[in-house]
Amino acid sequence: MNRPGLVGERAFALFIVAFLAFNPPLLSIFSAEVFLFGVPLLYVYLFCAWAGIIALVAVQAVAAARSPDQSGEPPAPEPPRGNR
Amino acid sequence: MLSGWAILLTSLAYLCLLFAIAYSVDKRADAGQSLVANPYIYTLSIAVYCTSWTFYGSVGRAASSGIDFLPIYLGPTLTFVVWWFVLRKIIRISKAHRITSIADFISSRYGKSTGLSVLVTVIAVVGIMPYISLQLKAVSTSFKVLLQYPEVATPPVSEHVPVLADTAFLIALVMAAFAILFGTRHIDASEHHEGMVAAIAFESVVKLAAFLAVGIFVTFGLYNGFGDLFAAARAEPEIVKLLTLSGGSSYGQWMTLTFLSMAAIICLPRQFHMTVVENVDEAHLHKAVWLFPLYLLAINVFVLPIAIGGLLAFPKGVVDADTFVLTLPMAEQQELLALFVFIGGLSAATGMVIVAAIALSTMVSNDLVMPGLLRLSWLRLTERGDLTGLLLLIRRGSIVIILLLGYGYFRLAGESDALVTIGLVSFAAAAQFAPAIIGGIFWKGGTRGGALAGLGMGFAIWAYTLLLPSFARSGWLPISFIESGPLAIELLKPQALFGLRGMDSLTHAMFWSMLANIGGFIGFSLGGRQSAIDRIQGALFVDVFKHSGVPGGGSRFWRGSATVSDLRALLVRFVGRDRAERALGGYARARGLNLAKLPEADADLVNFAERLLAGAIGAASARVMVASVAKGEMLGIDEVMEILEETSQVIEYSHGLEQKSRELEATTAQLRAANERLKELDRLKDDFLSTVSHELRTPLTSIRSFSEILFDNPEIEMAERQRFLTVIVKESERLTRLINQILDLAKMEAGRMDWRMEEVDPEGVIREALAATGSLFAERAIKLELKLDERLPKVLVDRDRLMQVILNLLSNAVKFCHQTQGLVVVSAAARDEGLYVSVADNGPGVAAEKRRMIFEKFQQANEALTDRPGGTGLGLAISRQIVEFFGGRIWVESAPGHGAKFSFTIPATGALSARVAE
Repeated sequence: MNRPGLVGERAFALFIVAFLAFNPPLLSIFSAEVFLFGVPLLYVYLFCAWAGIIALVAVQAVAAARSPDQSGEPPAPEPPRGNR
Repeated sequence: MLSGWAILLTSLAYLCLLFAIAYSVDKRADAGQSLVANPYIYTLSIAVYCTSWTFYGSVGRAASSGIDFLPIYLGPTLTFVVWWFVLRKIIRISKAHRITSIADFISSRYGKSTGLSVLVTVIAVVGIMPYISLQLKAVSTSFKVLLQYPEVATPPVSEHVPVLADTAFLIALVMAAFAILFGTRHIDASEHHEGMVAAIAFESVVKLAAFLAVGIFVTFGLYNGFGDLFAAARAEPEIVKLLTLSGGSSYGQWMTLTFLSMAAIICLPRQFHMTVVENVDEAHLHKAVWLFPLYLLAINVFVLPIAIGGLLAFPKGVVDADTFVLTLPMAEQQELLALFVFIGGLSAATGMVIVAAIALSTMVSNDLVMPGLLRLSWLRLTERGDLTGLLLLIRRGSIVIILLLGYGYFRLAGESDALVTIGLVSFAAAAQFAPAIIGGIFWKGGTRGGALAGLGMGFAIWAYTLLLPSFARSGWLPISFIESGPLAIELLKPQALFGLRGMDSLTHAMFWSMLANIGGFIGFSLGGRQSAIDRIQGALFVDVFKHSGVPGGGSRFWRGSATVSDLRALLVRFVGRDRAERALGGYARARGLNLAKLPEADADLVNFAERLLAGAIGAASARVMVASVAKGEMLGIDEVMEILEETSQVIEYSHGLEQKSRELEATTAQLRAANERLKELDRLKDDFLSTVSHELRTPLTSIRSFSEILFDNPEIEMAERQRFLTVIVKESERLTRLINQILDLAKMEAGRMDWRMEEVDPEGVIREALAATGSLFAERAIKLELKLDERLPKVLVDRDRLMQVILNLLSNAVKFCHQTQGLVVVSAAARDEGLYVSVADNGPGVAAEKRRMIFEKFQQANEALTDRPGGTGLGLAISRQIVEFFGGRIWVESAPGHGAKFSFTIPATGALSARVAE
């Protein structure tokens, strides 16, 4: 079960991770003339990291959709979605 | 085959298809069937972010500076990661306040200020001008390139084409017509343009498909996959440089681009419009937040391969890299693919232009023109009849003007720069909104003065460091303006302001404009005074999740009222008679009011009318209009803050109460259970006492009566006297036994029993017990069978207590066995569990439902005791306590009518010591 506020905390943590992954100095590690299966390392790294972040956002968003509204706010005015 | 006519006809046919989609979706929507209310259409409509810039420009950028085309798409991903804080909040606020545009949002937040909405509108229109020119340039260039087929070359920059013969101008007019058809059918801008959204979503599919088609064609058609393509690239040192990021300045630019695009995905007027205003259902975000970044990822995978393919295919400088997407298929004689690409590019461009034009025209009419017209008292606009026609006219006119402005910029400055460079100028302008928006939804202290100062200064520096230099580069300002500064003042050089060097021009401009913008916003907010409405709106925006559940929302901030007929007249003028009547009717029904009988509108209705108006003419104008018919004024700041405070407290309090009541319920349930148990125990205790008294009274009665006989008749015969005395002695013994048993049980239950544990040979105990009860058996002529195993295991027990158990079972067996042909079988054996002893009788047996109960105290008592005065009802309870203390168990097996068999086991000494040792 999710703690209240956890959705926001997780989103924020993921933002930090994504920000670090997409920016120097971490980026500069991969900025080298190295080829992975013939494809430049930087290119491979950026798209893999990107896909990974998107997957994590998807996981979080699905979890957020399942759990009730969490900020002490009334639930959104539409009927619940999904198979809850 | 690719003649000019074919291209034109295909384009027109495509545009007609788009319009058909929009038209049919709108018709369905009018009939109440929404086709666009799902997260996938919503995601695709947000993908209007990908314009010609993405479609043609990214490849050009990649061909010149490598992988740094990518931050423009990583930034939105980052913003969508924190959707929970930002997007969700903005959408919730916008729904609560019927926000129609980004200007409306900012002006609403800072006290519904007209000045602010005008400033935001001006910045948006001026800032987006280059962006629209970029689309015009892309479409006209791609058209010209395609027209030259089969020749593949960059068309020459035409110097003096008359405006009317310019392709870009015609394209601008067609797009304006389209935007008008799509976007200005309804008056209420906060209503959803379902048809337009559907058309944009369709365009997003087309442009993605077209781009992927080229990417796959280049990567897998011209080359054998990524490895082959990059292997070819490695042979060219020029291209290898594009595959890495080199050093400080390109990292600086990388971060600037990331920041810009993070801001742009919210702050661009068309993104705000699609993501926030056209959002049907907040829950769609749950899917869109990851599907949209996924769309961006998909459309970017092939950018670098296409750029490399183009660089390898064409000699340097012959073909503009911005057109590689189109020229590569042309060079390979793929006519259909080239045409598809052109349509894809057209999709990307028209999508952006239509949405931007609609969003900007809403802002221009609601936030710039209407407030101005309403203030011109000589127009007597507030007293005129139906104004919906005028509103539509303003919107349509502004769409045309906005596109012409875009075309103007294209003629002035657009021809010389690459697509991405032009687009970034617009991004930098849109980013100026970020401090006011983000500050506005998280910081209550931001004020109108702060927002005005920040936006004003940021915009001024943007214009000075980015816009004016772009004019200078294309010759409309002397080039010395860039090279040596205005009037040759070194410190004011627009690309090295105050001597700041070592940055690319974009990073430089962003640094100074953000410094001025954020600094001005915070400085003036902290330094100035905050007006009442500023603080109210601040609290409503920042705490939107707290207040949005409160019925009536901000309505209580109006003190005073207006007449219903005044409000109705006002609404009719701006939103049309039908809509006004429908809205008021709905309002009255929802509250069970009869508006005809209600002379004075209360604060709630006044607020309702204001929000309805805000949907049509913007928050700032709506406020002016409502104030013109409503008497009374805003409440004072202290009163409002009190209300807000009170509201939050009430909500918090009620949450607290709910929590408490849940806890109470749980506690009550526990208490109820405990009470049931106590009642049961109490009943058992009562039963126990009554049984004990009954048990005690029976022997006492006989002792007393026999004693009285002896006392009253001293002359009684000796034999008789002897018999009486025997009874007295026996009954006393029974009494003593009963009392002992009660004491034993009490001691055992309290754990105060003295146990003398020793190793005992069970056979001896059994035989002794049989000897002790031998007379009982003889008395009733009961047959006794004994089945003992050869070697019984020794057990560690209290000998006397074990004896007690066996005696108990034996006396029970005697009592309950068959009246005339009694048979009792005693057996003892060695089993896995240790010693096993059983005593079986052939009496009536024990009913199934009683088998567990009879081991409880007095449970057996109820019926059996009255006619069988031998039992105390404690025997089995005591036996169970004893056996369980020895580590064994006791149970009964019985088939009713065929006797009962009581058995118990006790662990053997060996097993026990082993268990203790564990």
